[in-house]
Amino acid sequence: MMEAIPLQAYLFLAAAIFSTGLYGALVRRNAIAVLMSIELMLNAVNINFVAFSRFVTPQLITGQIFALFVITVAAAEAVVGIALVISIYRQQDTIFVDKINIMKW
Amino acid sequence: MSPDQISLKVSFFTQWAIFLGISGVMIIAAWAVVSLRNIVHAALCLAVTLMGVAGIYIFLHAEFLAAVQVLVYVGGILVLVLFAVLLTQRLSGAQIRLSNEQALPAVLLSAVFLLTMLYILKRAAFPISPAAPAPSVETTGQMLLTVYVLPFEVASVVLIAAMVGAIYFLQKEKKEENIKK
Repeated sequence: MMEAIPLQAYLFLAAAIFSTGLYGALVRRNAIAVLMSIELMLNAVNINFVAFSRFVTPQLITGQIFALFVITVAAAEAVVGIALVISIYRQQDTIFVDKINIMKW
Repeated sequence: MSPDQISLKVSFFTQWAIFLGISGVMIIAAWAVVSLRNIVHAALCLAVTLMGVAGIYIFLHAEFLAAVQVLVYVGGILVLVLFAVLLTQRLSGAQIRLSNEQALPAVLLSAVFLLTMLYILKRAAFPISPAAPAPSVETTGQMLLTVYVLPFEVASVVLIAAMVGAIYFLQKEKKEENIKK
């Protein structure tokens, strides 16, 4: 069965979203916004996994299984990350990543 | 009847129109996530992007993953993020600086990364298989319980560890207070 949309279109979309997330993770001061940018990057990678799974190995859906595990680890990462952010907020009264520098020489 | 034969025959033009529509909305929403001042609005725009990713999964014949995406990301992680935003909201005022002083290098790095990726992907040739896609739900279930059964079980251990870790971080430190008294 032919697909109307070529593989490259999905990869371009994923690259665009990944760059946006990279910019956000580097620039935002709010730690929760940084976590959201990381979620964007993980989703871009998942699009790549599923696109390659569809176009290169359509019968063995390895990429989809891998994306499933990425989603699992992303959920664990979000839970622990947000727990850490709230814990820091309780102790330091801030969640700005450039203010949290007590471990910086 | 195979799934191909009963699937809706949609014209190439319609498919492109839907794909470009979803992609445009996703990219705009992703940009809003990293640039909006109000962090609650940014989280809601993240929901739009995540729903768009689910739409892309449906395009790629990964229906099970699309359902998981909506359930886990939009229903779970995003609600968690919104709770965290509301618990720490006191900090987001209009006068607070939004980005750190690394904005220009970050823009340059992201742009260089994007252009490099587009250039490489434009030139790359991938071994594209003409075979029809496997049925998503059925194959995922079979794979998870046969070939990938060990990672599947390890994933549950990871989730338990994350849950215990989060509870440990967030409990009030009562024991130390008791010792001090």
